[in-house]
Amino acid sequence: MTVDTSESRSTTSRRGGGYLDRPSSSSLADVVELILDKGLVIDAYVRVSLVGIEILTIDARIVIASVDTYLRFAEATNRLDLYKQGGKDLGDMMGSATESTAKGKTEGVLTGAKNAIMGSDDDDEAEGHESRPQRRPAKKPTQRRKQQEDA
Amino acid sequence: MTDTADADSGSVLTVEAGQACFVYGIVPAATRLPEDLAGLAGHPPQLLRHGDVAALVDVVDVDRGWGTRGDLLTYSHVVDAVAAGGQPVLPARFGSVLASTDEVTAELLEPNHEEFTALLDGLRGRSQYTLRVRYQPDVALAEVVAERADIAALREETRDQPEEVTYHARIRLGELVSDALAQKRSRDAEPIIDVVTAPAVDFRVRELAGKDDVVEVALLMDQAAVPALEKAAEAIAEQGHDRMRMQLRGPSAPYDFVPEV
Repeated sequence: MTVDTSESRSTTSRRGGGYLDRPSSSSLADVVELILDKGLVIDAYVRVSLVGIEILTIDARIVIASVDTYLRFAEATNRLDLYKQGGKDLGDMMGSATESTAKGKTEGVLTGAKNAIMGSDDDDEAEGHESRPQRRPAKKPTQRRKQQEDA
Repeated sequence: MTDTADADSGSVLTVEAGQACFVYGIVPAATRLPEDLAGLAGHPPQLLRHGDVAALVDVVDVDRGWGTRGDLLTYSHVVDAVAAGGQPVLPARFGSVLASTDEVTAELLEPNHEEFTALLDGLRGRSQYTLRVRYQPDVALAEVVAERADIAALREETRDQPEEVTYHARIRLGELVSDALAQKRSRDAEPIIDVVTAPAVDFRVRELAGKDDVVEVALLMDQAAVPALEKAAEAIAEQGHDRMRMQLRGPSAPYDFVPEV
């Protein structure tokens, strides 16, 4: 993995004082989310593969309705501090909207997949994001997940 | 890199051994690229023209190690820069590579010339905006526990117990939570989708299933309708800000509105 030199494009800024976040540029997580599995498919014509590129064509979507996922939801629910949630005032809420540093395992599902793709040096950007496969199922679970399930 | 291509004559592009032609996307032949646009080869990408359309390409080394963060960002920066300039672009899926410029012309541009022309015409003056709505961290989970006695009870039953003992109860808890979140998500997403898609030419709703996800919707926007979208999105962001946060990204290339050729 090379070091990304495009970090300057990854900064986010807010326009005006509104509630709507209008990032002026895209972070890596945004870009992956936006372009993964998107765009004109011309695979039929491709005669050359770039070394290393196949990892990006692997469908990183993870089937959500699985035992593993349920366990993650359960853990997130059990970890929940209800008192803290109930005691939050508006100011805290707004603060947490911009910080969002505490990431549970539930959020980590696709983050993990992204890390497998991109390297793990973008944790700050890679907000959890899971999508159901819409047109085709995930080709296969990653080896790592298999081992977890066997364990 | 020894290719000597210039932007006005794609035929000068030279693909040597160990190199290939990376296709960013399809654009009208008359497209003017933003100046100082840096592509994957370190210089501005090239236009490979055929009739009314052109492929936006770079000659790249095949084995230099691909798929890094910088590659992805550069690719999206290139296609988004074209789109942000108000010019239509059909982004090719990241990593689309052909062996030679002849192949780009003969196998991509020539057989699809009419379809590309029509698709590009439909994108003129339009670009994609993407609205992402998430709950404030753990807000939806807390609501679900508060609203559902069965979930709250299972939570109490399992939370301080060893995982091995409560394995099946925790699966049941997770299943209930997952379903409850899905219902909540769809209730919250529906009015948002109604509002933000009203000024859009077209839209695609992306399905999300994370514990803090509400909805993500890609909107194909006429440039003139963007202020209406921003206003509508700001209004619902303000209305729901105690539970949700909203992000509107764009303009970008119309990634979600490219049909399969």
